[in-house]
Amino acid sequence: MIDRIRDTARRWLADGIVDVFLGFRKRPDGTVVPVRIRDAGEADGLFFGDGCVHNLMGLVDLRSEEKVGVLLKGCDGRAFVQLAIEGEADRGRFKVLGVVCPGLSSNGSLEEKCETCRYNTPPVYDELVKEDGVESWEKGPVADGLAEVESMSHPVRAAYFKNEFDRCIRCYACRDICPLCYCEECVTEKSRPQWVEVGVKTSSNFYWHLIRAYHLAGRCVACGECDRACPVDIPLKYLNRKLSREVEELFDYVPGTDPDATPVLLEFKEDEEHVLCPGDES
Amino acid sequence: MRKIGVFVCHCGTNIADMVDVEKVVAASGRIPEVRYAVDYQFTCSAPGQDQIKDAIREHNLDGVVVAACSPRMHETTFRNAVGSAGMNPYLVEMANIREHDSWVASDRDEATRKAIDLVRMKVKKVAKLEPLEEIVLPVTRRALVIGGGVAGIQAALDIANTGVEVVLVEKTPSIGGHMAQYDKTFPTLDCASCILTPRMVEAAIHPKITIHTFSEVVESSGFVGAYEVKIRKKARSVDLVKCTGCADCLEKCPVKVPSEFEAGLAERGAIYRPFPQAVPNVPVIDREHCTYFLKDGKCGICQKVCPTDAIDFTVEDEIVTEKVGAIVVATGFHFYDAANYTEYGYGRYPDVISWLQFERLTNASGPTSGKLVRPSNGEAPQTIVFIHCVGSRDPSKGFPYCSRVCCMATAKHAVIARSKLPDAEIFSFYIDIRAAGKGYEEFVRRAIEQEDIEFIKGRPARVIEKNGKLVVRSEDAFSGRPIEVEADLVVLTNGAQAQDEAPELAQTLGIGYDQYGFFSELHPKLRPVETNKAGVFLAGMCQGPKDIPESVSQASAAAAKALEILSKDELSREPQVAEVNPFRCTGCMDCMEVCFYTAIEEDEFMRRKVAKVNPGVCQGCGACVAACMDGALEMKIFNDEQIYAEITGLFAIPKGARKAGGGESAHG
Repeated sequence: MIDRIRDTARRWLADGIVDVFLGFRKRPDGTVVPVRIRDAGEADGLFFGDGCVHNLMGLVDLRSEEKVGVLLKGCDGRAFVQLAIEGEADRGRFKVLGVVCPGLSSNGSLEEKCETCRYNTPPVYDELVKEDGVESWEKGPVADGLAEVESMSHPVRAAYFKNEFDRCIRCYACRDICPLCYCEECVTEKSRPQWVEVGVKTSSNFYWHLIRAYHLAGRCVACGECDRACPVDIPLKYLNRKLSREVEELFDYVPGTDPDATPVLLEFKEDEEHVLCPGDES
Repeated sequence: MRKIGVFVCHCGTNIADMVDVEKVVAASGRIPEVRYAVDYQFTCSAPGQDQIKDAIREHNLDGVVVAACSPRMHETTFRNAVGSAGMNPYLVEMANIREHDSWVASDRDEATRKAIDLVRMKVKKVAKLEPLEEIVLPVTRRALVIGGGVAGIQAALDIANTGVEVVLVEKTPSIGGHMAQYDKTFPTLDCASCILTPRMVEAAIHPKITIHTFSEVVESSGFVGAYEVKIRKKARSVDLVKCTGCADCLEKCPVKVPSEFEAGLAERGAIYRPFPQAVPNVPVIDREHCTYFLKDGKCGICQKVCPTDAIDFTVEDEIVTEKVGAIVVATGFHFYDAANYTEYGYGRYPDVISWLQFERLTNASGPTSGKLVRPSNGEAPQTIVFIHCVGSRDPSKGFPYCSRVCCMATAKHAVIARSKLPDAEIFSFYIDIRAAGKGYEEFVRRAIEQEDIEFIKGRPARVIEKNGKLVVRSEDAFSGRPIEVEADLVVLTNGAQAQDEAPELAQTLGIGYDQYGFFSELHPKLRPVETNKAGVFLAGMCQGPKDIPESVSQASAAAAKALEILSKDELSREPQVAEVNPFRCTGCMDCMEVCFYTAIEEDEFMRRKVAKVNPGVCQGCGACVAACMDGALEMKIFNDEQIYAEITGLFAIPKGARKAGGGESAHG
């Protein structure tokens, strides 16, 4: 499979189909990092396998006009689709080398995001590679730990999140790594008015994480990057999973899985079952 | 710091009875930004407004809060007042302490506290307001009228008579609309054609009116004062200038299809004119039925017999663009298809006819020259039954509304029938008689008392054919007993429905429409001819069922409203529009998707795509502001900073003050 990835990247770059190719490289110490290559000769250094957890869509310059080739797993492919339907990624500018993801491990055990993954194949691609024996699949909702959090009583859950958010150093790594956090000016950076206090304290930390979760409602593609990037291990996945599940149950919408969909919060149906009007029974 | 004046209105007793106005004034005076606070019995009155103007001059105010009623009521009043005192009119806010407070409260202390909160919020907001200038737009002093029925003709004439050019677009080959098909009009029984056709001619020869018949509006862009409308002129195949209206072609055409104008009771050719008084009096070729078009150039008889060489089979649809400043929509209605009531047998029994068919059967220019006969055998009917509310007031058919004109139309029909057949038995089955209108009730009484029409309260269950008779079965609601009438002719008074194309046209023009397809007026009471789109007005049935005098009145009203715009060289409009911050915009154009007014276009900023709001088109609804995920769009007067200030204003009270009562201590 790695040969096909290298061949494709080489061909796309050599033929001028793309200006730049985004993939992974394994460093001599065994760690895996994302890499941008512009020269067909560099294609031999590409790698795919355990450690390739990064969502490469988070590293794409959405404002550039360069033609981009990009290696996308299932979760990354969903990010691409969601960006495309939100009008942020121009499909014509991208060549997608899809990979049927076998699930990635670190230290011998499967990544948590891969255990709970529901789509291992990107919804759109120009070419697709897969390892022998790996099948592409789509799954319904899976056990993702949310039930445990939901089963806590309100005070216990509040205390749980307070405890987690108290650790936040507001480095905004969660935001910066997120492929869907593309605002030119983040709500945290606005000063007229100042929505989020600059100081690190529980109340503003709560505000930040909750507002981010809401901004991702119906948009999060479950790539788990925010969770991975967090230097103090705040389980941001639970916030995102909770809202994703609400959106799926209410609107039958799973972000980034349908390239022809309208983003769920941009669509209004007159006979929307779940829109409550004054006087409706809730 | 801004120097703000607070003016608290008693609204007679409306506010003062429930809110301690003096306490509100006292508390307002303690807000840091407030330089002056005062109350008055009626702040909206002339002395009340003078109080504001004097205070602005005396205290050099640069912001005003009026604590009174809803801004919907008097915002403009107070903007004008402060404007005349030299202050920017957009530095005014209204704290609604009437609808939002005194009218809905039951506790005086609570209501007073709330009034103080509302004032404080508005003071904080006014402190963040920016002076705004009105947007000035040039006006194209021409009007478009869509629909050439009686309403459209009236609107066109009213506008054109002031010297303003009018473009009148009519979908069918002739202007005139439904009224041209009617025999007589209620309650005076004057002949419909006699009063309508002179107006049709007047419109046709008017130097300021251009008529496009057989034409449709296909696209509209722009905004009030500067619309650009594309009109498809369908290929008529007969030259409007060359044709003399001699009608030789009509006689020779070998094709026979049911005539729409005669409601299917007579036939017309493939080349036809709807009726002899048509305007323009020039035939049209119906290409769907014309042999020349169906059989690849065979036939062409009309072209051979035409003495002026007016017929051209090669012409194609043409798109013309008209620039106008205002639009009057008068697209009318269509009759409910009575065949949907299978129980009445319309379409199955030839002697069950519709409203329009009855009109044509009694019309002297109709297919029977006005002889009222049974379509099946040409004999005069001995017994006639009218059935009201076919397609009206019937939720089971999806039309729960009253079509409003049918009671009177049926009374008219019955009286006409009586005049033609003095010995016939005439029944009229109704649910209720609705005869509200000048002379209407009297006319119905005349039908009952003098013309011997038997009105029976009941909605017939079915009509069945038996031995050449139509048996109408119903309940007589007054006696509670079933009743059967053996009729020779049954007339179904079918209701009015919005045009099928109405939603499409509404979307083209950017105006609202209701669940039935009738166009929505801006306000049901106070703005009945305006739409949500500035510069687009409504007249006649397209807005909802109404009779001829109402349609004509509304047409004149719409004309007056259009002229309000067209009488000026420039329009100024309120500047509360959305604005894009291009630094924040990511160019996703979601705002364009949600904009109902097509006010958003693509623009370039620092070599990337961004959205741009056209302030002339924007109506300030805020849909784009809500849709923008990047927070790049903001509404002037309602931007985040101003709303945030308002919210923080609500909480800007020292601890304990709320409980201590009365809101005496309004700031920390």
